[in-house]
Amino acid sequence: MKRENPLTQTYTSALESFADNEARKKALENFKTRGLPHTKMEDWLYTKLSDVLPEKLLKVSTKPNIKDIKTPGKYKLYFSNGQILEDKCSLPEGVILNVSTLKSETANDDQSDIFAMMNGVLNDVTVTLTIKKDFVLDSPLSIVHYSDFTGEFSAPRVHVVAENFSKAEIVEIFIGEDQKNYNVTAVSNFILKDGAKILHAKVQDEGNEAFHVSSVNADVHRDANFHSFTFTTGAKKSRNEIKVRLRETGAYTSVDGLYALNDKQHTDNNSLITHIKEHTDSSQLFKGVLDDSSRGVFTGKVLVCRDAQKVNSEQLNKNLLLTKKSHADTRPQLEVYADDVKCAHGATVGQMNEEEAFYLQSRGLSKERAQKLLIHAFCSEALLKIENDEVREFCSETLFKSFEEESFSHVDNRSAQKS
Amino acid sequence: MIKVENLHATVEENEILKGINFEVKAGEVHAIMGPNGSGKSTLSKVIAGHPTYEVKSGSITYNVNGKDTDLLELEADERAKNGIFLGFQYPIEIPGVTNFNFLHESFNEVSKAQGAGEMNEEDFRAFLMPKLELLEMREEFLNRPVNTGFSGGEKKKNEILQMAVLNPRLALLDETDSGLDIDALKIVAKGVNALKNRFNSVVLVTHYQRLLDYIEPDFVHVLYDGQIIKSGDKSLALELEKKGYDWLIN
Repeated sequence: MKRENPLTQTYTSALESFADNEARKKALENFKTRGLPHTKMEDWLYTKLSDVLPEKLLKVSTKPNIKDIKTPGKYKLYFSNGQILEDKCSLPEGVILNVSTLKSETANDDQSDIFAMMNGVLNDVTVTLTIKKDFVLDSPLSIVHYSDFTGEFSAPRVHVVAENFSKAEIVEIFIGEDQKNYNVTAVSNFILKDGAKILHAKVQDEGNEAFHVSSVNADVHRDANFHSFTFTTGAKKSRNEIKVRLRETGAYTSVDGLYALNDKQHTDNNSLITHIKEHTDSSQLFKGVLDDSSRGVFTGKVLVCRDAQKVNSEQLNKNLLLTKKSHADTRPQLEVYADDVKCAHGATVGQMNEEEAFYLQSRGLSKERAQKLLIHAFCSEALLKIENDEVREFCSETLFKSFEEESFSHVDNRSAQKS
Repeated sequence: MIKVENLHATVEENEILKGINFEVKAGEVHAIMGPNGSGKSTLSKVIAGHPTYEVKSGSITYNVNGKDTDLLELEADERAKNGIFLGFQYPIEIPGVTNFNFLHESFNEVSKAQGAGEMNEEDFRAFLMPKLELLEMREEFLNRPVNTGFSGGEKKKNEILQMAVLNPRLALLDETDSGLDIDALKIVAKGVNALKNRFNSVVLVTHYQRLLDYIEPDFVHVLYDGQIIKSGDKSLALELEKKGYDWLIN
């Protein structure tokens, strides 16, 4: 019996009215093959969407507006309500901005990614950033996605092409108004040519009623290095799809993340690292800290293809539950078709360690302060994966404002940040 | 300084301490020895206020400036503020918090409680320098996250550095010598000896006699199956080294 999300029909007909070119039509066809997610789908087992998906699929019509938002780095790109604000952008000379309608030949989306396909139909323009050969950004580029609308969907799409031996730190910040049930389905695609090095830090700090889905796809070529950091602390419900393909020898990726949730927040991280060729390495650390009745899901698959000999891969997911009602689901998966590889994976779900808290207390720190510090330390292990100081510091501040401060408002107001 | 009377303590319903009696006076060094699983570490943790252990009966009386305090009434952090220090056998790693900030915060908490007030960052750094030197630790050590990626020896030195910063009245050092090579052991011992004076006391919990060559105890106690089965002076430690524990147990 074919199962279907009851909203699929409505969404499909809404999408049909937007499918006005080849690329969009193709995305729509792909969307139709699976329809909207439901919990009988293997990769949506732990995340039901019935409480967040609006009954009607409407594309955002609210005009863009922007407010002052603190961001790291010298270079900026602003989106509001899904639209790019070109006149506010500032980019270095070695980065070329191109704004155009979606062309299928430039999209490296995973065709089975439901919301990426939805984005493919819905999005107005694809924003492509080409980083010229040998160009090294001297400061991070922040891409802000600010949302201030209700009920509708925005579908921003950014493509980054990093030419040979270029290097950049790119921070995408998703932020929006509280109490507004807006929906974001974002796509960020990367092509790293030979020897390119990209850090993509995604900071999801959406409003507390938002539904956020994002897809990150990266194709990593010879000797290129893609570091993805997915930081989730906002939205009512969110889903992150991260797909990295190590296409040529010497390609490396580190796919890391942190989710820090409270209240009834729910996030689902789904990553796939594919080792296509020999001598490709990957590493993954995802950590989750869950307060109140929040829930964090991690599914991470490492796929080693038959030709990918001499591969090193390590993967770890660690969860810290702060209450009895918080919940973590973790599924590290390994699929190996090559015979000469070194792969390790693991997962933990645990509570506050009494021994650790005692250590701090025995040094004169109160129990509350000790717990706060340990949570900060737990998160820091993940944040320390971010090599760029400015980007890491920004994430640390966001963590403090959006999670630590709220979760521990009853504790003395000494800043956990200062450490 | 501290008087332990008929102390019984359990963890998850297992009785570990089965009636401990001993007293430490100001200026004394005591060594507690015994085979594995005899309750040595438990005793030091119970005195420091570890929440996992439940004291079923008995008492721990702590005397500061002529005033008796029932130690069992105090939380672990309150005991620290009253001058009790536990050097951990396995110090905890705290990534994301620098050693300097941790030491500074710890010092200020304890100092504030003892009425000596807080120290600002600059003064505290100056205060730390001779202590680092004493333990032959480099300054860059302060900028590293607490115990994270430290070698066994560095972790133990870091414990003694914390002790030097907090200047406790009663220091309980739980197997501080385990996992140390001879050079690190000498440095750790030098640190402890430098901090020792006639107003404070040290309790060394140790498996081996080796440490006692460098930190001379006034009293040696043998703990077995949750009780002190023999007490003596430092010659007892030498005898144990030669004969093992069997002659006492059987």
